[in-house]
Amino acid sequence: MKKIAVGLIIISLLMVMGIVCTIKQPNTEIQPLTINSIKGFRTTSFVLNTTLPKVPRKLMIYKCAEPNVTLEYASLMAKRFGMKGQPKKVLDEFVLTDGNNHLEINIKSGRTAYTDASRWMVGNNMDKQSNLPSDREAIKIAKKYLSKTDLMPSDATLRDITHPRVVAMDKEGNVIGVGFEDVKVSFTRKINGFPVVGAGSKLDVEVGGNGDVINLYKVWRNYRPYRVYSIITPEQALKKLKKTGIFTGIKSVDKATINKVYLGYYTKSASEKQTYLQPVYVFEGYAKGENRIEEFKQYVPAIPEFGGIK
Amino acid sequence: MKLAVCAALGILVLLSATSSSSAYKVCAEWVNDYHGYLNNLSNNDENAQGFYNELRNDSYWSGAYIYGNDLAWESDWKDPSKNGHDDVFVNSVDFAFFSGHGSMTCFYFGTENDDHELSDSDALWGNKKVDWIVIDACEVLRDEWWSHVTWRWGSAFEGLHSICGFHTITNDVTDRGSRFAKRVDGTWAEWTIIQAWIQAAKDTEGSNTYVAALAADADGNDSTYDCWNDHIYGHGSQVNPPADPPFWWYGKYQC
Repeated sequence: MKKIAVGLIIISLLMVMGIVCTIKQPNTEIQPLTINSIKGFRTTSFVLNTTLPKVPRKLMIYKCAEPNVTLEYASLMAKRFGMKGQPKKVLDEFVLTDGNNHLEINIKSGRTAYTDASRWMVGNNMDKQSNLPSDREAIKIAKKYLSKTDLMPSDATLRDITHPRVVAMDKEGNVIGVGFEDVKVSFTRKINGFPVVGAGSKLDVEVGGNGDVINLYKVWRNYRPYRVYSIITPEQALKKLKKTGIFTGIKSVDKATINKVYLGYYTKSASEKQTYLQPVYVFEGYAKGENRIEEFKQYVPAIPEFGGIK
Repeated sequence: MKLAVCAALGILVLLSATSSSSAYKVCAEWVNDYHGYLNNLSNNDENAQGFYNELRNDSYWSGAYIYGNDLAWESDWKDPSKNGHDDVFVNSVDFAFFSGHGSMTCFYFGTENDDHELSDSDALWGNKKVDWIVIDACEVLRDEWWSHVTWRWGSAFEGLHSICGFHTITNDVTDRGSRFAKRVDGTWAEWTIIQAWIQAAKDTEGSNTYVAALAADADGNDSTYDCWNDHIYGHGSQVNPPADPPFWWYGKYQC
């Protein structure tokens, strides 16, 4: 009897130790991941119309490299864009305007933005459909330009091609003219096999009339492995989402459906400093109501003790 | 005698410089606290203040007012003919900025003064003064085949040059307003208002967000781009539209 009691105590102790080991994360200086909330309307009533993914119990957190944006670096970038003059540091940006060309490099994220301000998203007679290269040609131009400016990351893959347009619209909603159009070539990336999500992972090159690059926008933080952490299960993430709710532009949602759940690494916007890349669960789906359907995408930090929705 | 004349001339020059230097007025309103009418938000105060403080410190501009939460009233944006008093608020300045909740048909206030929702049918802007409006809120400029943006907001243009906003939902961020203003007032650049708005959205939103703008055409000619290419006063050119624009320029851009 005594032996059984001792055995039970030992087993209980081992079980408790096991649970503690699983939950306890390594000691670190990691700051909580804050995700900006969405301004939309909240609903907590939704259904899951997909199977939850099988995920690892632990995932790597990555440490972001300091962007190290100095005057020398900004000057070098200006040269690569063929711009004359010395960039000036104004608050969190190095900026340089040379004629119509404008360059900004953000010191917190390293975001590089080059723009021909006389053409990009401005009504003009050059950037019209008849003057644009084909999508296939635009991809070639974009890749060549990124290589020339030494801004092509090795892990970039093509995301999509879109055509931003400014149209003339009459009172009835008819499009009666086009004031601007270009070809926007966008790239994306994966880390550790998971997509990078959020506002801070963008590489866009916009090709205008005559095949000219009129805008380039890159926020693409470098990183290195930091430590492995336990993550919550998709079921636990779904529970958290039920508390937080889903946000859409529909005020009275009749039905919201989640049809895709996956893990990704969350990146902050170009104007924010980010020290670590942390995993999040991404919930995608659509909401119905007010005679329309709208898609949504919502993030839940996968390491909840290090994150939340602001 | 010469000295006195010089001094008088100097004073005159100084006076004229002072009067012209802040000739243009800016206002902002923001709402975080919706008192249960809608879910509360967090960052609209900082977002609106960032815009307002940046522009009011420009030598050509001065601040008229900034009202937040319960002091931001729907009637401040509504024409007197619709029982509002925008003639002494939004329509008495050159540039107005709102940050809070929005939807396809309206943007929202936290109190009932005189109600929560400023809808397209409440608005007649520019018949007194206001030239540019930013509505940093979800979907106010959403364009769909079953609800075109010009159906809804076209009638609000009574001399107004443009509205900047969003086609989709958007995030509750702190710094879009200031980043926008810094690219129109020469701190970082002197871009067109709409370019600066798009870039500020791109800096602060993920690629599932679409930023949007609607601008008046002035001359009925679709090879001139009129108010779409406006700069703010003191930092470039702008075109004055008629009270009933012949058509509008509309663009949405994936951030």
